[in-house]
Amino acid sequence: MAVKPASRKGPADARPWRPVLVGLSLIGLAAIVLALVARRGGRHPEPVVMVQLPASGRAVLVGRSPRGSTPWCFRLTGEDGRTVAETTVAVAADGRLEAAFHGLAAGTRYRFTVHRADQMRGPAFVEGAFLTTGPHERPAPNPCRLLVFGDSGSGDVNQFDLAEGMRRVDPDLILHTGDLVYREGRYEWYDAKFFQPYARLLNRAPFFPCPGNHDADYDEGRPYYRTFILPENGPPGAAPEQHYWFDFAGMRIISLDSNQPYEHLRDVVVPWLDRVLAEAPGPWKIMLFHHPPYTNGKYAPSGKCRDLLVPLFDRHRVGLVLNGHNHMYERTHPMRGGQVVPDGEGTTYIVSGAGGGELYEIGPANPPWMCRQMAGRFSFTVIDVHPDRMELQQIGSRGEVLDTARISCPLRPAGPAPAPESGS
Amino acid sequence: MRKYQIWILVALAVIVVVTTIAVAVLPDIISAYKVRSVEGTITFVDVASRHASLEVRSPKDGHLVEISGVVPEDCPILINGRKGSLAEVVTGDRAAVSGTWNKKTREVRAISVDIRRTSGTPARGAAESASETRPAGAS
Repeated sequence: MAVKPASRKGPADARPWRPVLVGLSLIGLAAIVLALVARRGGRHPEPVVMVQLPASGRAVLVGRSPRGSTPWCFRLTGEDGRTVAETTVAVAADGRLEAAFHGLAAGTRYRFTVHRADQMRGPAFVEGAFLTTGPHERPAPNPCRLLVFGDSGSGDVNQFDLAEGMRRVDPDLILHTGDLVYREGRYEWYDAKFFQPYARLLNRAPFFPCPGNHDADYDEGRPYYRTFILPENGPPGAAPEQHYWFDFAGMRIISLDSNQPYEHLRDVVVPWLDRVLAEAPGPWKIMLFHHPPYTNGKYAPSGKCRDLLVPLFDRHRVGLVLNGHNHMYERTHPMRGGQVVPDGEGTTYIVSGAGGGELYEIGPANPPWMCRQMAGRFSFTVIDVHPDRMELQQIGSRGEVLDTARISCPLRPAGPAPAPESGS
Repeated sequence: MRKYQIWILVALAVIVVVTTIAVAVLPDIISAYKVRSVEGTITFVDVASRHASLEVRSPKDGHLVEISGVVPEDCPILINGRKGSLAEVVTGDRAAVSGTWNKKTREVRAISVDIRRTSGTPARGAAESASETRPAGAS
């Protein structure tokens, strides 16, 4: 007769805590999953609002809200606390919010709050936010602080960590060097990979981007143009917000879509850019576009930008060119005619592309014009602009300063550039 | 263990090592010598360093990309069928280029360059319809 072996589990009451332990473990696991989802930008109960300044005296607050939520009331108040303007907007079918304010006083700072339209006496969902209307003349010696970053839209913890550091630098203006959302610039991905990471940054300073290849290539850039309200002062023959310029605190800042074909840049952009640079009221001229004419990384320098745009930068004494595309940080010496020139006599080219996307390695070349390169570190650029100089800092995820530079304004009148390096 | 068994084990070990190395290295070697042909617009030429860039539409997704690489001294250059030099190539030229691309080093080397100009004049400054380049998604 076979004898059934005794159960190793023993009596049921020997470990009464086991179901409790299993239950607690499951609850803990669920909490971790929920926290990770929330960190990666899961659906949020409140709107995220971004400041856009498409024209003088006009401000637009653009945002995203849960679809199907109640209308939101945007209230603008002066520094004295009095309500200046108030508007209620419904959430579009795709979650988009847009509240436009016209006839605002120039150079004035306004606070704004966002309430549920049906609970005006309830708490504001967006608080401590503000916008300052143009032309943003900032009296010396107070510098204007630019925040520059790009190639950011991974939606992962690196992007969120960096965004927290960006918020602490309290910028006056935010410039993005392109590639806002990876791998494809889908409209529905903007929430998790753009609005959520920068929720506490976008409602404090105006945001101006240029389209990267991942923004322009998906659906012909429709999600990008649907998301942003940008100045419509580009060249005839181009789409309204594709290339644009604006003046901010004595700077003329020009944003280009460098994804466009060589022929478009040559025939449409170059004549317009020549005029816009010539008419700049102040000495500081800053360019913003995605593909770098000078870089040493995974991707080679953009030949079309170097051939068509760099001669204009030399002729008009552009002080700073901001690019992305290579996921790293790079700063050239001041350059003119393809050659290194003394500080204050040329253009400094910055690649600020370490904003959260997968990082690249430094390329094999060792070009003489490269001053500083940093690979393998997520980082962003902070530039304090004074009337005569810029003070630049490259800042890493933990707030560490990776690079500092002082860039003098190219004030001297434009003369003939040195012989170009190119044979073309 | 007999002697022939040891030799079999050694042979197997050698086969495993050689196969592993081949699998790791061969794609790069093949890639470095695989000739590809593309057609596009010359966007940059530096005669001194013999570097040039070509803007092409990716056959994979149709997106515009720029390819930069070396044009060696011995690379034949044809301009409308006649023999030319890199110094005669100008930005804006339409070109059909054959070359190799080393996936590992990302180095591009041209094997042949065939420039096709519609007229005798260089392409730079030639106007094309700008409206074709407008993104339909722009608001």
